[in-house]
Amino acid sequence: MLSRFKTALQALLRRTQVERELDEELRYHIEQQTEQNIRLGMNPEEARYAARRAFGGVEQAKERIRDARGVRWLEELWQDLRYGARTLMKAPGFTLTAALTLALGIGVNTALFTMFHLFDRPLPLKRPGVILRFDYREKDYEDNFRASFPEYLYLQSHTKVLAELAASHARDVVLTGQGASETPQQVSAEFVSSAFFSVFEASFALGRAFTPEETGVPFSDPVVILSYGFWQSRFGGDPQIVGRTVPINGLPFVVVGVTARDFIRYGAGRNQKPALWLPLTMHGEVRVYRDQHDFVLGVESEDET
Amino acid sequence: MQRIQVVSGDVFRVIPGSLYPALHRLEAAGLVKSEWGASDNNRRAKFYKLTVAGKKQLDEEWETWKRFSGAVELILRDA
Repeated sequence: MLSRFKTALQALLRRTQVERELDEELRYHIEQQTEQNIRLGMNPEEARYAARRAFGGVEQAKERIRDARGVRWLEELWQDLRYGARTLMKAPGFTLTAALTLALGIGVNTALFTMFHLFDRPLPLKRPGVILRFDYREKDYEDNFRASFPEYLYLQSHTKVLAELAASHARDVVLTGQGASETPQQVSAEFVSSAFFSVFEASFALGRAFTPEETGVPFSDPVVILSYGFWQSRFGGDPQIVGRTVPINGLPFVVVGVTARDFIRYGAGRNQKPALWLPLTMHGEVRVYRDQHDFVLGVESEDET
Repeated sequence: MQRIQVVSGDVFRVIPGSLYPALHRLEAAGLVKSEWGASDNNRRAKFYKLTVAGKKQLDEEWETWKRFSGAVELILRDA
């Protein structure tokens, strides 16, 4: 199949040569016949005429030879393309409009695709696993899909499939300044369970994540983890930040870590990136009712398939 | 061509207009190959030669023909 195509292509490209050879081959035959006719007694003119007649249509023979060689289709295709191009050239306005429309359509499509693909990036998890999100339909006024704290506790103690659970609650907090030089600032924060950072495979520029103890007992561990950006903006990237105390909502919290610069916080309900993280147990309003705005994520352990 | 005419005792006469397309078709099928050479009177002429595949095909056709003509003969003789 491929060789036939090659032959066809060759025939197309070397068309003049192929035609010339064809011509020569047939002409040779007629010359021979003519000479024979002359030997038989005809005069040159008659001889040639007779020879051509005996041949039975030179041009037709050529056509049939071209057919036989099976290269016509490519030639015909080429001719059709040329005809199409010529026709389009005759109506330049139409051609231009059509071309522009096509280009715009393809261009816009590509642009949108690229744009949405940016948001659609898969979670860059280093560890193979599946992130499951548990949402419960709530009947509160906001009609949120959230889990609640009791459910989180239940899952944590009863799950066999999930290796880790992380719970999170987003809220704004206020950093009150220390002294007259620091201004209060409201930032968005996230109250998380200890497994949160390992579920999201966070790495740390400074310090560490919360320990399970720190997120076990309500109100007992005033520790905070800063995001890289917030560490830079509010604290000027102070290398001694770990161990320092920052006032949050009027209470002193000790900084235990700063997340790495490239830590990606998977999209939460709000579009704001949290500036800092606090233990879930420090949330003053952790209730046992079903109107919490938590969400729970789990990571399947690698053993369970 | 002339050979065909002569050998067949004038039963078959091949028109050049059909011979050449046939030759080219055989060449396209890879059963013969052609090359340019010098004729008796030193003119440039195309020479066709049977290929290996062509020889095989010829033998097969030969066999088929023998079977066919043999069968026809048997039937006719029997009639």
